[in-house]
Amino acid sequence: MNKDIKLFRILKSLSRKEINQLQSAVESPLYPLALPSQKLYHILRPHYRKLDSTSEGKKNIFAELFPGESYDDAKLRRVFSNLTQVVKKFLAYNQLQNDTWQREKTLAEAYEELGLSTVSQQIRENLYERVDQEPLKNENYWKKKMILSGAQQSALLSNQKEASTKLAKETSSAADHYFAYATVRHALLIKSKAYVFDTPYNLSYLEAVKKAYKNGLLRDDSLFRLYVLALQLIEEPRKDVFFAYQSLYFNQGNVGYGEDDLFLFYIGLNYAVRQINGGDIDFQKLPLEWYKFGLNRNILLVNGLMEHVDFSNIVFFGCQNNEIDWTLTFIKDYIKLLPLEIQEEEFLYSKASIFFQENKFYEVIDNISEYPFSSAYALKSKVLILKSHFEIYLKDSTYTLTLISSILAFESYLYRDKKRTKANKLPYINFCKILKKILILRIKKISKTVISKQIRKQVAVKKVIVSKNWLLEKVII
Amino acid sequence: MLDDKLFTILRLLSPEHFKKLHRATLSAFHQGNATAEKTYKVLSPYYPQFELSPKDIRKVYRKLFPEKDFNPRKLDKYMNVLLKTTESFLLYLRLESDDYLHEKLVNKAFTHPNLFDLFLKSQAKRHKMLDGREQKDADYWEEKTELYDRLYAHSGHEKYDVNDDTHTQLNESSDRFYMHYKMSSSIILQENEEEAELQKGDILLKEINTAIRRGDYENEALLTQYLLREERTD
Repeated sequence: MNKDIKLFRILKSLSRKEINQLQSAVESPLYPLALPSQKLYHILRPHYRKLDSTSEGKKNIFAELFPGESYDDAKLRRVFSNLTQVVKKFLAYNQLQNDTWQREKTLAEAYEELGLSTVSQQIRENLYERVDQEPLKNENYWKKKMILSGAQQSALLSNQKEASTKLAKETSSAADHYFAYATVRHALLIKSKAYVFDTPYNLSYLEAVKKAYKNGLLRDDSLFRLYVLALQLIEEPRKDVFFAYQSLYFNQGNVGYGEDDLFLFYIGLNYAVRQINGGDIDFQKLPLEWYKFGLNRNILLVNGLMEHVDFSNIVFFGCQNNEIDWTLTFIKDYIKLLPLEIQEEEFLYSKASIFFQENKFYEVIDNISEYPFSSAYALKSKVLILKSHFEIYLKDSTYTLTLISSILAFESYLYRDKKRTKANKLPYINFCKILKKILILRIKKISKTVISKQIRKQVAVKKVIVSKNWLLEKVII
Repeated sequence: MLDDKLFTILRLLSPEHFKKLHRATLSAFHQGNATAEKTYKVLSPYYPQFELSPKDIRKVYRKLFPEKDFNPRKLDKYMNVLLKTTESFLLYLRLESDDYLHEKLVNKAFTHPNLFDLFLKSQAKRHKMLDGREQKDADYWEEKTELYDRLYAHSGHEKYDVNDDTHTQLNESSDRFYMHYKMSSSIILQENEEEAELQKGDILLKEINTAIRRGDYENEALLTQYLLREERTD
């Protein structure tokens, strides 16, 4: 549960441009706002990214708002609440202004409500023309076409038979195109999950869509072809299907795939990663190639920010492919595109990953073992430390006790941690078990061939293990 | 000469809304500015009829541009500025009166990774508002589809939680959303008796009809009605 004040959290999520725009909403005569709430905005604005929700912070704000008065929590809450309401109105109105589709649709409805159907109709026709010119004919495009031709159809009089037939054909065709895209996309989501959990599912219309595709529906559409290949990657995960998918994806024209880009990107990337995890060395370099493509096309930024998982993965694959200089440049260029609150820990973790790749294991331990990582980084940083301990042990057997106590400490940490689900902890618990097993077998001076055989067997049974490939590498040394 | 569209809208505004429009002209956030405000003030005596004689138009012009020769283009430009503010004001009114639309847009703004709990609360509100509607029509399913889609895409959403069924709900909503459009357009085509042959080869339509006949959508009164209408036109 986030303890931060709601207003502060919303303000912190705004961009610099938005926080400045908010001033005109706060001062708008259409949003009558009591003076203290207006004043509150001006107090918060200069340091809106670092607002303090503690009782001391609130008292300081109260003192600025009402100098000389004794602290009254209820009074302060009212001021906060009033400003929150206006911020929400600001957000809603801004969203509307920035979304042409929603704005024009809303305006058409407003005119209709005033009884001005002709103006409303004109807006819809203009919108239809605008949609028609959109370069990317994807699911959203066909959805808009379906809605607009359907609305125009409803506005027709009963004697306009010819126009009615034309619009009904358009609506029906746009609906089919929309449905084909939506069905295949949803099938991808459903089948991906079923693949992991082995759960039953019902995709009533998928076969009909496939049949319609074979009969010509969206047959020459390269974006839809990508979706079809993506589905094949799940249904019959063959290398040739992947390379056809990769080739089509990497050769997208200047238009790109817009809002579909990231989704299709992860399908290709995840397939390549799965092959590496399955031990296929042909795929070793591919995830980094995918990420480089994603970075060049700016696909990985959503609202100007990068997901920390992508950032960590890029560093991981950069290190794995021994592209240390490229990875360091990446860290330098992109660290600022992560949410502010995780930049420091991601930077430390990334640097430690590079130290690890450079065999500087003591530096890994020195740099991150004392750092208070947040929940998102806690487990993976502990794994990196354990791996470093193990690497040191391989060169210096006097390190055995340190290694054993580190493994046990991590195990005990995992069992004590009640905030995470069992499924969440399982890959780490398995990691500890296998690492312990390797260590015990080595201490017992069992032959490398036997160790390798036993560990491979155990890895195959456990399935979900973090750093699986590294563990397997360690048994062949 | 003088924007008909502007006057048509202004005539239709209630006295309360017309008065409020003045506040919009003063609100930079709602595309208000000095030109819009000045034009509003000069035109307001003509509310609600806005029947301006040529003499009135000259009078309006003199008030807007004292000591300048009459130039209809200049006048049109000022009217357009007020029209822009008025359209923004209509959007503002729509947002004030349509709670669902307001929540939908707030929900969209809450897709920021750090606002996931607020996003979920806003989603729950939208679901409740939608489920309170009398009819589960195309619009209802469009909104439901958008809700599940947005939730699924949110970075805070646990896609791989074994109990999560957002993707299934998304798929089922989208199926229904499509079916409303497909069925209504197919009925028109059949009524117009021009598409009988084409309909026979329509794989998707056949599949939907079979599903409805099989009783897969028993609780969807509107979808069943489509089928009944379709059967009547057979």
